[in-house]
Amino acid sequence: MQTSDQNAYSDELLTRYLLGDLPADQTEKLDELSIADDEFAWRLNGVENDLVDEFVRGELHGDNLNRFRSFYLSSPGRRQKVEFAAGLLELKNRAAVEVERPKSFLSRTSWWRAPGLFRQWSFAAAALALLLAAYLLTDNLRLRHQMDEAAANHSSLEQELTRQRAANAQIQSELEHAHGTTSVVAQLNTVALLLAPPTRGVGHIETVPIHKETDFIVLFLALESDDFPRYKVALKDPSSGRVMWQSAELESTVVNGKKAVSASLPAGQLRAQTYIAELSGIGKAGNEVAGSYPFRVVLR
Amino acid sequence: MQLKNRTSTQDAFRQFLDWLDEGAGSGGEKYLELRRRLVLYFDRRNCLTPDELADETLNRVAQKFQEQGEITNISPAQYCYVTAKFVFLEYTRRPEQGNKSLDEFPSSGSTAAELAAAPVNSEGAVKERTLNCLERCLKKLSADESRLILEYYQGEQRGKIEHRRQIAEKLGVSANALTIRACRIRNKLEACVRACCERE
Repeated sequence: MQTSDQNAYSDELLTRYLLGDLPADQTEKLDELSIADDEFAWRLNGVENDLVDEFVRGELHGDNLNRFRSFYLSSPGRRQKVEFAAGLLELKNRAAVEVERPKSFLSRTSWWRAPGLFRQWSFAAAALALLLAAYLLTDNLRLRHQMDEAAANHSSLEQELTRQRAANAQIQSELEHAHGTTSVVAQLNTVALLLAPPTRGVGHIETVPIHKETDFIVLFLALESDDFPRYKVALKDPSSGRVMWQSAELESTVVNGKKAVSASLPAGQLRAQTYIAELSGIGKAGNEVAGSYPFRVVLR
Repeated sequence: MQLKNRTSTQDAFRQFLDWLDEGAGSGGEKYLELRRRLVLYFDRRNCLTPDELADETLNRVAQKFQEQGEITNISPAQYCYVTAKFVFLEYTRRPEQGNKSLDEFPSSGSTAAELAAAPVNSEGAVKERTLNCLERCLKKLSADESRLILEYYQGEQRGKIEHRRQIAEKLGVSANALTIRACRIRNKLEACVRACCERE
């Protein structure tokens, strides 16, 4: 099938389709074309790649950004595309600051010296790379410092993370102000929740408030003992036992001087109810349930 | 190949691939491309197991083709779409699915966005793993392919259109042809990185 008219579908329309923002009849039509029309399928592929790149570069705004966060990022497959795009961007930025680089298609002899497009892009990419490196370094040092502080003072992790986020936002805001750019980090709001090792019997159930701006919940599941090299976290609905979300493989980390496993899950679509975060250890003999951590979600 | 349970012979499968090819002789490329599109279709529909459903669709199409010997009056890709719609409808009616979709129950692997948000010690390790895999996979591409993928996706917003026009002009191909070439390379690279990350 080679029937699609390139002009019939604008990039904006395809973007809305990719963000799940079209009415059902239009969606169905484009679904069909996306499989049966070669030309359309490739064009859609191109628009999707550009959309993901725009998100990674912080170029998405307004409704598209909101839809991207609430719809596009809700699928593991699509999130892998974002991860890939972020890697590709970083690799290009690294390459841009190297003096020795492969010759370009556009000029195999004098690109580097030629005044014009390539040099402009190189400077832009180098500036972006420096910005990214500076931010990561600052962020890393700050996180280490705050974690040490938390361990020393035995202050609660949630308070610490709240402070962290505020500092993060401030640094990001300063960076944006100074460089006129945004990053993926700036677009995200997180809520952290520390859950103590499960105990027998009915205990206190932690509550996590979710605002509509919240993007992710970071769960810290404290370990009684760190018996496995890797773990997985599954979010379960206790009323049906249904697994509603599952993490990738995770390693334990040290939080507040204690071993814990942390997992970040998208918050936007969670309902006000009780959930169970089931922690499984991945050992040589297979998976083994290491603990169940109930918590309650409250929508604010 | 998921077809092994349902197709009895290699010949039958080869005939099925020939039919999908519509005489193009892609050597299985068309099958893989259709599978990729079906996975994306089910993924956009927020199904939890898009790969599984894409395989189920192709299995059914292959089975039908085998039973009937031919499928006429409709292109193979369109027939796949029609079958996919039924597979999707059945999926939504599965008792264990209920009304569940990823809209309601988001799932996650590690993404750049998530990693950026989560203050965990393994963040750097996962990012580094992706970058290592990316570098490794880039080396598997030909020199021209890796140069194209790095240059095609350079530039931001309006600037990139002009940049791509220049690349297309230099290569002597149309803008559409360049987009397809870049997408093919990126798809190949993405698949390689995904497989590499899963292995590690």
